[in-house]
Amino acid sequence: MARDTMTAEERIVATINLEPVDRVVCAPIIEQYAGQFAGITNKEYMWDWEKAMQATEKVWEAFPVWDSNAYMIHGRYAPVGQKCGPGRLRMPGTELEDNAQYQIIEFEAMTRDDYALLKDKGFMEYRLTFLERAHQVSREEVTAAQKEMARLRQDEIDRTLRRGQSLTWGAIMGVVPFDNFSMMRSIDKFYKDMFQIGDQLDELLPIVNNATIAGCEAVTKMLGNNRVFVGAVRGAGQFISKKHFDRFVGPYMKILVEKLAEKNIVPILHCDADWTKNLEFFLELPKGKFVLEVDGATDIFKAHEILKGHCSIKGDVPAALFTVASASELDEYAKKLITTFKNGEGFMYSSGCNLPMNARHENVKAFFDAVEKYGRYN
Amino acid sequence: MSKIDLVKAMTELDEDAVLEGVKSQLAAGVPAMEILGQLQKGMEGVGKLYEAGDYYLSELIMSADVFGGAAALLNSALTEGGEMKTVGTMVLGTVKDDIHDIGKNIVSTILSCNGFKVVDLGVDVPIATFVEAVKAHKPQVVGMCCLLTTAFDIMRDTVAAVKAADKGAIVLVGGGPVDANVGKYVGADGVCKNAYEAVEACRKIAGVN
Repeated sequence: MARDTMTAEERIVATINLEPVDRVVCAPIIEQYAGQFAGITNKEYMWDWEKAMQATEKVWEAFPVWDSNAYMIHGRYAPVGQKCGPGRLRMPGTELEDNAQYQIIEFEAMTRDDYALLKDKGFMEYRLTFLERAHQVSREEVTAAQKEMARLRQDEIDRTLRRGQSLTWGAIMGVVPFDNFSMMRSIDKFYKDMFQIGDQLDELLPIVNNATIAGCEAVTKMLGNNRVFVGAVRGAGQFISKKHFDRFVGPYMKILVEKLAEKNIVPILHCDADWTKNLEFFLELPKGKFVLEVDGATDIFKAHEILKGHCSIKGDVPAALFTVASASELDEYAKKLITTFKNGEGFMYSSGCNLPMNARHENVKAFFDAVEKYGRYN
Repeated sequence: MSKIDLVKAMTELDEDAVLEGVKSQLAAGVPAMEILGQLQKGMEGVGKLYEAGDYYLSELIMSADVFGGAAALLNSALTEGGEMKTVGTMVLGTVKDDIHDIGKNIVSTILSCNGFKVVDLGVDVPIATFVEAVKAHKPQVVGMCCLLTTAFDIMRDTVAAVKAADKGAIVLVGGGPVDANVGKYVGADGVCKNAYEAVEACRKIAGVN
């Protein structure tokens, strides 16, 4: 068996820079599956930090080829997630059965009238108001939870680095402005706003975008890692027309990536849902300065055709292959996926979004085994 | 004032024109069923544009909203005029342990606009509730949604229970991660990627041309 000649960090940096590597970067988002792998309930995983971290450690011990940790749990961990998480969370052991997957309840926590408030107070201040409403907690509880979340993030970072893994991203900076509004307003209300009060959105989207850029700059300085997660889902071509994309999504994503590139910050554009219709757009973003992460819905092979040599692409073994297919079917897909990309074309091998909590263990093994079978270049 | 083309206004999602058109036709004594027919024809136009790739999910959500607002204006008039004629019945719900409702709601609205009676069971629906609804409503189609991979097994159990209760039951499934593999796994008769695939499948099953 050939041996690694690069560190995990060297491998991920080279991949983003579209340079050759010794083997493919292996960067699945493990999250709640770790608890199932370790034999604990999801209640224990979501409510007991030490058990959660030990479960993650066990996955890595079993599959040390997992070399880049795309960690997310610090923002969902129940004691903080229910005070400052992305939305109202139902958790195993409290609102749900002990081994259930956590769920985000989407509702209109931000009203249309709040647009004026956001314009007046600025996004960061408004965001705190939103979190108070979404979680039905006080401002003090929100800010205390945010501090705790930052402490937990640092703990995930420290543990990841101690294992010799790289950090896929230093911080999760939230989402592009379109998604920020959509999640705060709820998807149906926000799409209606897009049709009915687009002019107001034209004024507000830059405010949110600038706040996101400033946040990325601050957090990368603080953490000493220049990669940030920036999510995008609801502005995908699966959901909105090109006309709306060109007005409400594309320009802001472009500004965001360009401004971050000027500051040597690499956004990992975590694009869930189907972006196949938007793939040409990503050619407008600066070459080698961002990662496009897709979740199994976007045609990653089409993405390769259009974007190879332009940006790193992260993805995308679909959830169904982990949960209802056989291990051999997953292996077949992994082979096609890994071998489609040539060395130096910037591929990061990953799950499509999170590795499902109820993934079959033999399929997860097949996922990791595929790295050595098909992803070795030396 | 020129007469508003309700079909065109509905298809083009011109909310103000749709509401004004409905009000003026009601005031002029046009039967509510006839107005509803125009709105449904407009929704068919929306469906065609969606199938052609000119409309997207956001347009579907908007169309459902416009249709809902217009239908609300017709409500009392429709009640006075008796029951609406339906082309078939679907029992629909998001399976147990999953609370996602956006996709389900769109399917419900679009099917209703296309003349189906939809018995919407809501989200996090226990297996027994699906079974009871199938026995009570004798639907042509049962629709199940989920967004969580952890709901696949519940969906499979629900499909089995529904089929055990009614051997002729036809079950269609859908939702973000639901693909052909999942459809096969849960024992469904079909997988619908979007609301209009559901309409097409239901029309076929109900024998509507």
